[in-house]
Amino acid sequence: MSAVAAPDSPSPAWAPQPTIEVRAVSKWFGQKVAVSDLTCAFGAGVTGLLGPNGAGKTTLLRMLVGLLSPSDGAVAVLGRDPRRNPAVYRSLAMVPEEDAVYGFQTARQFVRYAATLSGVGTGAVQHAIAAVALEDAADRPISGFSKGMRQRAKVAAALVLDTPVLVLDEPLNGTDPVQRAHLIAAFRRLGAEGRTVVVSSHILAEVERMADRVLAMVDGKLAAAGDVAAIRRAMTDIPFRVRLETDDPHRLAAALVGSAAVTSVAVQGRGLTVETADPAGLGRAVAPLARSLGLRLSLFEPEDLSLESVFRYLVRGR
Amino acid sequence: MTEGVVYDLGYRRHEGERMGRAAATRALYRDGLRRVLGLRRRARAKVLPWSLLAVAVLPASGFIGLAVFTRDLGIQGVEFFSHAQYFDLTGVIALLFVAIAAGELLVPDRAHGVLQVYASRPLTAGDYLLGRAAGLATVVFGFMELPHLVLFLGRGPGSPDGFGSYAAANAGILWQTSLSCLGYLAALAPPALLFAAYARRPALASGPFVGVMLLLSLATRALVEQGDLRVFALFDLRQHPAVVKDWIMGNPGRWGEYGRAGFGPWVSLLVIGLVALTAAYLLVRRYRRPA
Repeated sequence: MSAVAAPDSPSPAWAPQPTIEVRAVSKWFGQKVAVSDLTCAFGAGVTGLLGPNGAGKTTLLRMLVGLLSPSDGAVAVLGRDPRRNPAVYRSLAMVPEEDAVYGFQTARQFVRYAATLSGVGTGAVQHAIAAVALEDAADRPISGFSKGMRQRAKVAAALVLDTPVLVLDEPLNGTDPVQRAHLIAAFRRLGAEGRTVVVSSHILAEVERMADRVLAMVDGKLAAAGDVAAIRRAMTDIPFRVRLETDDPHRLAAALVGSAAVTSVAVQGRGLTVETADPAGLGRAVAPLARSLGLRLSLFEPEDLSLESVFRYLVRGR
Repeated sequence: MTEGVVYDLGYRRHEGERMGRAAATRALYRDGLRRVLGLRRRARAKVLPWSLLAVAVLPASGFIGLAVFTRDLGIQGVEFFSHAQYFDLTGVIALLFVAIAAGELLVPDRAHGVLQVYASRPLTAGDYLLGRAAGLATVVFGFMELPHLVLFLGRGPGSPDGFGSYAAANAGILWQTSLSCLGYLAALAPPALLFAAYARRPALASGPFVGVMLLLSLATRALVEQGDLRVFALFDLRQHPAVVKDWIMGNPGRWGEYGRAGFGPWVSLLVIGLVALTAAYLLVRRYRRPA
């Protein structure tokens, strides 16, 4: 185990009461650095792991479950090194990104086999299949499944193990909107039960819907951590964008230009987009200003508080 | 008005005991048995293993039938095939069976990406290989021993002294055939598994394995015939289990080029052991990093 300690000061990257600890972990493959000096921890609830392709998400997840050894640093799951420690896997289930299913088995056979392999009995097989809404297809060979159905079979094979830690690599790939909603609800429920659920995804809207906390990786490094609004607030070098709509946008724009809280104003159609370093201050100032000008303010909407905007800022220029 | 109900689709907690590595290895073993025999799979998956089994067993059944027929004609003591001779027939089929079974056991795990699933279960690479090898061993042993059981049980009723006396007098043959089967198993299964560990499709495991074994036989015969190249007889890996079998069954002197080269059963046992250990070592190395 590495001697690298947890951060001294509270860090958004370090979950309180962590079940998975990643301490100064690096991983390189020859000359390529996949993960660079990463320190973070995962605890109860759903954590979304975000990053563009090649950011190192899958490499990190594989190290979390012991499929890869860190080149440097250390990973601990429930206080133990997952590498070459089969006992850890009684508490840990993984859904890999790749298919990882036998085409010749039915979904029920696959989930049942997963249960027997982990020694948990087959009593929960039907519930796991129901949890991913795969009952109708459970007795058909997986070779005939769509990508989304295979994904759900893999998730069911992980759910049936009833472990306190779940690591899911792109589990929503290939699923349709209804299936996604179903799986997201299932992940949220697992997180609410106090399990540690780590989900990697590049579909930002879905991470936003399911994760209590986000870790964003870029080029193998941790680019941001915390909840989305907090990450956005921490980006003090990037002004917030707010969309306003009024019956005379030009008059309101002219009045706003003189305000200290406003960085820039652009008029677009019936509305205007304002950049500000202090969106709350802008919010307090704009309503009295519009009233004093005799204008009706019909919209005040932050444009870049979404995870997509935050993520776009994080990876800009890369 | 119809009452509505909302079902809790959340997954049920596992309240019971969580089994460990032994249970996981047993699960792999059972899965291996089913996979090699094509059980719980479509008919296509059953065709090859069961056809080969039929080819191995049917001659024994036929010989028994012929023996009964000749006895009914008043011709006593006709024995069409001895157990030792029957191995010469099943040895070739066993080579094919082992090649197919090993490919079927190991290749899909790698080709379908399921190895990483195994690697994130309470299993070591050694447990995985043990479970798979045990499955292969059970099926191949059964495959080779079954025809001998048929011969043994079929001859008993035709015995002039009755089945009981026959069985008591000849029970030793079952130990001999069992030990001989183990010899074939030890000689064929480890290299077959090694070929399967590196193949991307089952056919690409079984084909090259059978080809290499046959080529080794042909090549060593050609080399040994040169006179000064007797040592090459050791490379005929198919010959070794046959030599050991003849030794166990008290039927020496049928060792062909190998015998003429001056080697005996202990050398064959040594070669079988060396090949098996080397293959096992390479297999463990291959599977130490399954992801």
